[in-house]
Amino acid sequence: GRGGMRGGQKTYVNPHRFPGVFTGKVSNYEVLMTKNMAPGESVYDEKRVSIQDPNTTEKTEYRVWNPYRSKLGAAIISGVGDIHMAPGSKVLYLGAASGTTVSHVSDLVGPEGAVYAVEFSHRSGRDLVNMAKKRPNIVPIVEDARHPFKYRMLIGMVDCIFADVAQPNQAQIVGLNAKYFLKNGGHCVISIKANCIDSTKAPEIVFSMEVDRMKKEGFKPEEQIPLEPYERDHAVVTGIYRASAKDLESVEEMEE
Amino acid sequence: MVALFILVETASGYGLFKKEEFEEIAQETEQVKQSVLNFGRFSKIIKFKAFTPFKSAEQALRNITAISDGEISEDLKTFLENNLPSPSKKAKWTLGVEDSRLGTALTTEMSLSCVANVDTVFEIIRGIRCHFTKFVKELEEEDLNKARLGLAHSYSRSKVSSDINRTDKPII
Repeated sequence: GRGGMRGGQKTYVNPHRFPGVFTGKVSNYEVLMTKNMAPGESVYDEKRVSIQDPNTTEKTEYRVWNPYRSKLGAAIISGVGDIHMAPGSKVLYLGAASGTTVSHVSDLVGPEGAVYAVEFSHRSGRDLVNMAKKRPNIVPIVEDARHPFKYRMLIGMVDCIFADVAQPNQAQIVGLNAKYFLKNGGHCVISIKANCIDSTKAPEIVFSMEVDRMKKEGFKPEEQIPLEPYERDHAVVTGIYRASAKDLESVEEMEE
Repeated sequence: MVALFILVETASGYGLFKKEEFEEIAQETEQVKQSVLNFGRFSKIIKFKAFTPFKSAEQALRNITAISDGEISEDLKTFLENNLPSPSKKAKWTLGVEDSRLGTALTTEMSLSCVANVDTVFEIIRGIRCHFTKFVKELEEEDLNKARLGLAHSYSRSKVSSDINRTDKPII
């Protein structure tokens, strides 16, 4: 056995299989983490840990990513096959709210990446703008995600659209934004809250209706995973946009 | 067939592009779609005409405020007057824009022939958005990114602070 661990280091960090994401142990809990882009600052009172590099004297600060506060975090812990964002990615984030998850995406894509974070509510938008001041890879956009032409001057082409807008026509909103800003072969990662779409139908029915709507918007659905136990009647669905024949070779047919 | 000019608005300034021959048919949209990924092929179909940079943060903010409302700013008017051919009976052209409200405003206020909400124009602008800094030699990708960041902050700040109705009021 590894007796050396006994009574020793309680906190450690390992890279997750998704580049830019980390797992580790903090105060005896297994947690998900990202490397803090703005060391010394918490965004939503999350725990921070500083890990010393064994070879140098340098310390790296990580922030604990709470899956109960973030659907993307919950999707990663629930075993989603791909989040379609990595260091250097350009991400359009619809429904940024106060920026809890956005801050982790900012950590994840790092200084070479960018997060275009769209939030319509002025109250949340204010928090988002303040948070973005300390994170230069976040482009905060207080606008209505239903009208991408209003913010077309602020966004370049992106690799991924993440959406958590809790609107009945969410698939259509994602499709419209994709038409403006999503690269061919880019991806969407959509969080679906069943009773925001249709509270009269069973969640499974709502999810499959949304998947069909995504197809109409030019996406080929790739994965669907439930977010239990972190969220009730929520699923995250991913898809590829305007896939070329070559893109499709690597995509497995999704079970219907 | 007519010539098609295309207006693209960015955080760094306005760009004008041209496609020599334009016809609103599915085949043409497909041709543009096929070429978008390859700048060499795309730049054979779409030519860069003009670019005018915003000279200050205030100017950029004025312009995005107008553009997001579908209105013509003074700067846009000047840019188009300076760079579009003067209307004549011989040379037929039309201007493609991304927002139909702006198209309507340009038609009524400047008597320009405009097309908006057309798939071909959408596809062309997608392509230009992919390759903008390759077309515009004087602009580096990094400069454009910085301009987007700065403008997003000032635009969003103006949104949350101009909204007097939603500021928190004490409940008495």
